[in-house]
Amino acid sequence: MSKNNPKIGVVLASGNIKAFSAVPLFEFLETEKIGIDLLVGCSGGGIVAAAIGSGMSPAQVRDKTDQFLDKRLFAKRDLRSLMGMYNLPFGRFNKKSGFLKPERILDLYHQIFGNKNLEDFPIKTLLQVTEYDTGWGKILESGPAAEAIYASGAIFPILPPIEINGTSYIDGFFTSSLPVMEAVKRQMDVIIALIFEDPIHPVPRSFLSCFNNIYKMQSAALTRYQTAMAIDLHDHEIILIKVPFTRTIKMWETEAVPRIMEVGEEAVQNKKTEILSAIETFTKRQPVYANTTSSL
Amino acid sequence: MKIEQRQVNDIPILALHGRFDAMTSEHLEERLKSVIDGGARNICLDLNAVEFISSSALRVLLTSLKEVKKNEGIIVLAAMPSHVREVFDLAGFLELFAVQETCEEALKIFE
Repeated sequence: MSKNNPKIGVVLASGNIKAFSAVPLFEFLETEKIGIDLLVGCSGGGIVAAAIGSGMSPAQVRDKTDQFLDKRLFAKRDLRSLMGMYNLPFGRFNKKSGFLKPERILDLYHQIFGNKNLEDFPIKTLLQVTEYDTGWGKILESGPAAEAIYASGAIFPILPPIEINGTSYIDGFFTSSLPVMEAVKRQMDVIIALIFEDPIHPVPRSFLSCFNNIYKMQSAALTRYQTAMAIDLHDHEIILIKVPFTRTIKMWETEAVPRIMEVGEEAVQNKKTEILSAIETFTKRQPVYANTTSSL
Repeated sequence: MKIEQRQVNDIPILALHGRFDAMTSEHLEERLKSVIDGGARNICLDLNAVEFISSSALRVLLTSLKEVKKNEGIIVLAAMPSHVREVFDLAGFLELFAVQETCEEALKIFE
């Protein structure tokens, strides 16, 4: 191994089930024997990042995809919260509420990740979350993995926040849908960042469609500003891979899985040369800091 | 990678050809620096023949933009092919630069 090998970071944006389209990227890295030094994920991207970070092979993640998409995970509604939304009698909505009950989702994460802590993962894995009480974006890198993965995707008010060590967390999507800056801060040389494009619905016909459209616009704007800043602060290559979906895919659309993988494969196919070239150019680059030190 | 330079009404137009990545962005940086050091306040970049542009080349453009802004200048990006436009869009750079469909339209900005 050359001393000048780059540190490789992979960043996965939010994107619920669409984030599983990152699997072909990991398969490509595995084929090319490109090691990953850091994984950063948000929401759906956090689930996939955690799966790879915990030591699962891309093939295992591919096989487990169906498990993450069980419709029953999202079937238990919190009627009290729903009634509370309309101020109906017996209804209640507060900072701990959510339209869906989170137990089944948490049970699934416990089933898959056991009682592992993030710091025990073989690949350093960071999950983007938002602190509910302050609105600050935070990174979880230690503590119980299942709870951290849930927190990263707790899209309030659909899902309730989760309290970890006395702090309430919600989806990282609200503060950094594509946490590429974190990989820059952690000194990654080549950063591969996947953005799962979710088109704005041109004719929204329901409250949720309208609501989703606003979420998407806000997230896209925030991602652009944060990515520009990350590029400015970085010093080698950030490879942005847009995984283009032409329609919204619901969390439980298991029949969409083959198409999701296909879209991911196409997106990665177009970027393979760029990834290899970014690694090669870094390896060929003069070790600037070593030279500077010796000339002093 | 090739950079052709011409001048229209005191505005330098740099036509970029080929691939711009970590290996070649140094040449782009040197060329832009020399244009700015030569007194250019405004610059037009013709991106029509760019095959590929990476984040390190985008960073060079941003550094140059900061330089020209010191003298209240601008950099206009012209004739961007769709694959290049997508890179600028994903990177959040479309909002930082002035963008025009053609070099002719870009030059009108400076009139």
